[in-house]
Amino acid sequence: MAPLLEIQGLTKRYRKLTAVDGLNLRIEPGEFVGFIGPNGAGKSTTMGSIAGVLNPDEGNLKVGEVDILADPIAARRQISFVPQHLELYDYLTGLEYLQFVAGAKQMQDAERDAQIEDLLEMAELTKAKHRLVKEYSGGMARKLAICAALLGPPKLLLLDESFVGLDPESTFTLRKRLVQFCEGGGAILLSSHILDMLERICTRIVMLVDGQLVLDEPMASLKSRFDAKDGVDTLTDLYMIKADKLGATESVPEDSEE
Amino acid sequence: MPQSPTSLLLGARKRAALNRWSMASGTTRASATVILIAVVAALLLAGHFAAERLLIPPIETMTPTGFEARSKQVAGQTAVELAFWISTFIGAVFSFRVMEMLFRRPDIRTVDKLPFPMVALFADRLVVAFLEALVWGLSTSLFFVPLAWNGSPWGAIVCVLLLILSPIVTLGIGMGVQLFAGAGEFGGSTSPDGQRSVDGYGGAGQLFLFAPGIALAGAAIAVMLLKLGLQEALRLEAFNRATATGVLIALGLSVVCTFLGWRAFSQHYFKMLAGFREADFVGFAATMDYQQSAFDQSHWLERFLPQEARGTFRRHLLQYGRRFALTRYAYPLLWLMLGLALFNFSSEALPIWATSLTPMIFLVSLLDPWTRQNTPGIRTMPSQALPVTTQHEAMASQLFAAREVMLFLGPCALLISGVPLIRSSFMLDHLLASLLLLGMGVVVTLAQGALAKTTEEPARAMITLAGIVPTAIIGGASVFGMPVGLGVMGGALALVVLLGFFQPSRVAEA
Repeated sequence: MAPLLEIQGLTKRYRKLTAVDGLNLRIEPGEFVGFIGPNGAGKSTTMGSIAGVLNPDEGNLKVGEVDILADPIAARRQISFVPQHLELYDYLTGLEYLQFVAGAKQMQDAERDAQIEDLLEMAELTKAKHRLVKEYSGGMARKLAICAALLGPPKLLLLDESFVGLDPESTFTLRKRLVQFCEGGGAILLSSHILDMLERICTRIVMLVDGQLVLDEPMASLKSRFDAKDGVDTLTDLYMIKADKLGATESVPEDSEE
Repeated sequence: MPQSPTSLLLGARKRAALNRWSMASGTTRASATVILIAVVAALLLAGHFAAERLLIPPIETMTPTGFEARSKQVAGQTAVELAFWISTFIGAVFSFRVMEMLFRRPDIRTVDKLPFPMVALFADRLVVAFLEALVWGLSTSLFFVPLAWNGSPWGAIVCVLLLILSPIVTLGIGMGVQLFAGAGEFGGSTSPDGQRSVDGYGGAGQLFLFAPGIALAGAAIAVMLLKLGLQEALRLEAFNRATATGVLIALGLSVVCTFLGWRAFSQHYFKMLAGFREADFVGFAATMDYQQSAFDQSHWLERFLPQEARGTFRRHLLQYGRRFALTRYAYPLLWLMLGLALFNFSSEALPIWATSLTPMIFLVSLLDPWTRQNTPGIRTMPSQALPVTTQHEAMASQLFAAREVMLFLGPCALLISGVPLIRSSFMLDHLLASLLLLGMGVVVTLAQGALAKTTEEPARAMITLAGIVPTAIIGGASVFGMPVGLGVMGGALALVVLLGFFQPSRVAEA
């Protein structure tokens, strides 16, 4: 079966800085991939390239059978992207904005209304649905953007730091919904620095450092190797080693090397 | 049934405008209406009082058949010349505005991740740009309407047509040139070495980023043709073949460019958009070297502030002075140009050249650190965590603004006032011109700063320019007319009401 997302040799440079360096990545349907790495590692650049809002310098990107660069509209039908800095229509109400996005995805009215009601309820935005987006708090706007991304639903969901500013209750509900989305055959690439959460919900962890892939392993496999005796019993411990935050003298477990 | 993508995009725009209006308070709506009516009335009134002067035949004018002497000129030719220069001036701003509408406005960045067909996106951009062109044309042409009841109905018709058609012509040419340049820059899928790299920071990549300038050159030629055709209608007091030819060539050029633009848009738009996103994202840092803290050095102006506001003032001086250091180098260049000009201009033409400085003031006000201080994305947040009240913040900002105005305009005013000491010209005229210059500088700078908080840069440019036009025109009539022009300018701020409604979104600040 073809992967849902296939990236081959993705390279993106900002003049002298190579933000992403020859990245290869495949994501299968049903995978919930946690995308981690220090600030400036190239996560947002990778996501922007997949979403088609940045021009990669080298490499091929495919979602399903669709070449993202050659057929951007077809790719956008399969991908939903929630960027780190939200870009919404501020002078539409929450409900109008979701209807607008559903329209862009050419959803039928009945299906659209049912999905919107369901998503608004999930995000606890039902009471605020007639308020202008401009009046939403940062967390509410982020939840609205995630609801809009889930409409359709898409095949691949790209979430860039999408849990920032959400209250614990919303985080819990949203996590459940995202897991359901993957169980239904969708795939998620979620960039986040909340490693504890990723450890709980992701099926796979991908880590970038200086634009290069330093970790790509199923969560189950990682957990099986976590051992308190080595001082590496959480994703945070592993992250600190991979990001070289503990100094060169720290040892890295042999079998976790790429 | 789902809506068609085009009607969905335009519908959202309309919905946002209606929401904005209906959810505003009654006071806001009433104020907006009153200000709008006042601006329309002010433009008509200014036009009425300027009509007599505008209807004096010029000494000689360029026509399709060459220079014509005064005896052959008709009343209204001066007005047409003025309308032409205003059109060209608008074209300069509108070329950049088209670029913003195509690539940089928040509303396009809201929808570029959604699966809208290219034709819908193009239609949306075209309609938005067309509406804005219409606002430009209609608002500026109001000034020329009074010619109709002051003895030159054909003068009014020609000027209004020129001002309404020019932005539309500029729009088509602007879209075509900029999209075509973008396709050339981003269109190739790969280079011979297999890389897609586009250097948007320098080299050939800059051609695309500066395509609005090329578009302006094309638009200026088309508007010239439009003017040559239309002024024949004024001379013969009837539409004729020359008029039809001029209008058809200009509009035809615009349509062809729009079509070429569509072809480039349909094939490479997302790549161009990504190029702009990247260029905006990375940015340039033209700053001075400042490795040593200068915060301990007090500034003499601080003595005019209470102790609590001094730190904020010093913060502004350091932050924006360093960030926009290049502006500092631009000031002496402009002083030098003014100094050279002052010794070449005739004193009799004082009102004209004094008011012709307004674009320079405007340019400086766009660049100066005070305006930047208020621009979203650039401004620093108020020190909410520090024991500084908003009142003190405001005091420090106002003093900073005043300093910026005086830093540039003070020497300009001194230069103008100093000319009679060297040349035998009337001192009072020069003093009035200096005062006008300072007054306009203060109004433009404060308006820019205030509008920057809520309005996008191009919209600010439009509002300020719309204010400058009547000032320059009335001010140009006589030395004593200049303060009247200054008064008219204040009312132009109301255009924000019209323009604001075309903007359904903003980008959240980082």
